[in-house]
Amino acid sequence: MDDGVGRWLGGPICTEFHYWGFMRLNFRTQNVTLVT
Amino acid sequence: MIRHIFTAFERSFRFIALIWWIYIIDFLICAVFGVQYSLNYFGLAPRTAQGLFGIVTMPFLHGNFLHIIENSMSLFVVLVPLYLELSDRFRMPEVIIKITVVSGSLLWFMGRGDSIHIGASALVYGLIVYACIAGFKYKRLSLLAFGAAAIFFSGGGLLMGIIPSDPQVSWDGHLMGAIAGAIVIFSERNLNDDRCSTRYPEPN
Repeated sequence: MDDGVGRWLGGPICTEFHYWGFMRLNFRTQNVTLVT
Repeated sequence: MIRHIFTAFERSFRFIALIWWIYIIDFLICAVFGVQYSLNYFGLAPRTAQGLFGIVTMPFLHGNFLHIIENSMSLFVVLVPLYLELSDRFRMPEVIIKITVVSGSLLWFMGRGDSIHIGASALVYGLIVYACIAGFKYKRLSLLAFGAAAIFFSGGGLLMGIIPSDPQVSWDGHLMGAIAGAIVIFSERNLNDDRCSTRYPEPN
């Protein structure tokens, strides 16, 4: 997406983020998958 | 007895409230600054330097409302019976910290790469296994019954949670949580001594 905490940490950069959805967390990042 | 139940509810709520406060803060951060600043970046990313944060932060980070509701209910359902049954023998903060650190460390070393693990479900698994083994160790049939009921009423979902299935489910986190729960209860000194002879504390 752009530089935020992820870049600051030298970590993954978010490319898609369905944060407000009520259903299961379903956002993926460029390099990693967020798993719950 | 009523006081004991009240204490169990209060202590469980306190911990769950802490998780909710962090979720609300994260929610506000995302609303104001954008989702790229989400605290979820501080989750546990195995074998990465920044992922080390996650050993401590993972149980406090949740992805959405349903996720935190599920984990809050699970935590409440497992923490209250543990405290009711084991009373002061169950040192809630200590057990929570131990399971969190042990499961997080195991997950950091052995978890799936290319992923950020968040959520308190590893802790929930740890506490359920802790409760089951504590039932054997301290001869509390009700805790064994609780473990069996948890598996039964989840429709086997608890067991399914520790085998690879959905790529977005942290099954390895669940597994490490369960292992951590076993390690923590086995490492506890068996307190069948005078201090534990009183099942419920006397009212003041």
